[in-house]
Amino acid sequence: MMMKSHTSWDSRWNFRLSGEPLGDPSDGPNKKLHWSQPRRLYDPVSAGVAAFASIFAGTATVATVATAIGFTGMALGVAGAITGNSNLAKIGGTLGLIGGVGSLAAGAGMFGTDAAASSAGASLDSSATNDAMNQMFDPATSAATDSGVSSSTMAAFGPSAAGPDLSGMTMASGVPSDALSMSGASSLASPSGLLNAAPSNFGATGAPVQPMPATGTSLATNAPPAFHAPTGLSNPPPPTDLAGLAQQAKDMIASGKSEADLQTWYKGLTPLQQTLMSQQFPGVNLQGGLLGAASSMYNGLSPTGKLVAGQTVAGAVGGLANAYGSYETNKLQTNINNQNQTELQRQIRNASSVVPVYYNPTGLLGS
Amino acid sequence: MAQTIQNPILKKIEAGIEAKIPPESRQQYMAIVVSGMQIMFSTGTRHLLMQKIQQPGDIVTKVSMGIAQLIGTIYNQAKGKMSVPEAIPAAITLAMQALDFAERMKVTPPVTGDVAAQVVQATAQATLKLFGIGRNKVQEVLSARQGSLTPQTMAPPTGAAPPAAALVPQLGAQ
Repeated sequence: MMMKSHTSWDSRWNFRLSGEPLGDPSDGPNKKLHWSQPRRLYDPVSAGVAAFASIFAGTATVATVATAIGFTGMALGVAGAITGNSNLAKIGGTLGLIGGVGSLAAGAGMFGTDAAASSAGASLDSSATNDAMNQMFDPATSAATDSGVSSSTMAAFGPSAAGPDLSGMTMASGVPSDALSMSGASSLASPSGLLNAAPSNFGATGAPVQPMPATGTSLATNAPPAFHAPTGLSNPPPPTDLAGLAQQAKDMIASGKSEADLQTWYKGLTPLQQTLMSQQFPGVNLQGGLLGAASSMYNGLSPTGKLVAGQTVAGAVGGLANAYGSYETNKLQTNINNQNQTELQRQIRNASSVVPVYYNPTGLLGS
Repeated sequence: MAQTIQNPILKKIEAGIEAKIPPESRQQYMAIVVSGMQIMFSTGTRHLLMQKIQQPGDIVTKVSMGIAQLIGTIYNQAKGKMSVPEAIPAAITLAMQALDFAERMKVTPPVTGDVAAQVVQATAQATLKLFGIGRNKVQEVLSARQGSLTPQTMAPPTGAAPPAAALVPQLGAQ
């Protein structure tokens, strides 16, 4: 009869067969987790990135990549228009055209500036393409990967004594002229004004400029209140309006509603709406998201503190996993509610083998 | 504390992006944004955001890389159901949220248009890199647009563009 040897956790992590490759000790090229290497519970992001980046890069269709580049261009174009950074707007316009949405988007007013729209509407020239690609993908100009803001990025985006460069941009393109004035009086009381503004007016030359209201008032709009219309907690939208439900959830979080309020709202939904939210909304499950709140309450009762603080993270992140019907996470919630700490700890460990549940509070966003 | 963006510039960028999201993409976009906000601002996890933005370093880098990590976390949790294109504008919206939070916590001086523009670009760069979209991918799209490729599954990246795995040490080092 074969006997299984009992090995302590420490020796198990440290044990390896002689001659087995260890990989790059600096954790460089060899990303495949070797069974003899310690399990990296506290660095889940790195492992995840290695997995999905390579998967996406290898399987993405041209259309998907083009759409992603197009959306990038749209976002940069909008930000360029609002910040008065024509360079960013031009990059956005070029990327939008590269993404294949340029002509359509320009026609639909998808870009925020005439510069972006005209760039998108024009034929794609190599110099503009190279310039945009250099600024987006050249590490020397990448503010994201440098330890600080690079000099070239600062040159492109840094403060200018002459103020924002608005050359090439026409502000009658539907962006309210006051929107570019950063004085306090011009701040919008609510984004609903811009959101409800008829999208076709964005980018359309000669579109009427809406007067800015006084702070604390909402913008008048003729657009139908389809997406951002507040419906109230007791009046959820029809079950098919999934985007509206998501908007409600976002608005509640943004307005500082308590988890209890969120839970009340969720429970006020019809079963069909709850099902749609939990099964058809990737990443959104408000009931699952309440794990964080439940574990926070539990945290207040716990004498151990630190571990349960980690469980709070596990709850919040596990809540996202719960959106996809994680059985393990449901059990986790049950035990949080029951305040069964021993069972909770055991199930968190078990859940980590099913879904990435992170123990360390600093492992989610921190190092 | 309410998490409505207070800075007028950041608020306008968020509103501008959301106004431009096509209706067919709005659901995915909102799903990603809500997920990110849950992680960033929920009572139990808000301190993580605070820790992140209080680390030493440039606010542009901290926010952009932190948001890229956040998007990666959500992507992992989504188990392949998250749409990548909508993740880019969603990441920028979340970056505006984080930047506004940093300003309100007085971690950074009042955010100017220049800083906001840097964060937008850096977040877009980091998120694209997260998904392995680099110069080579753009070239493939350009080639496809010119008819030399058909919209089929693209070959793994080759050539000068860094492999996707090269991103890992950068993100992991945060």
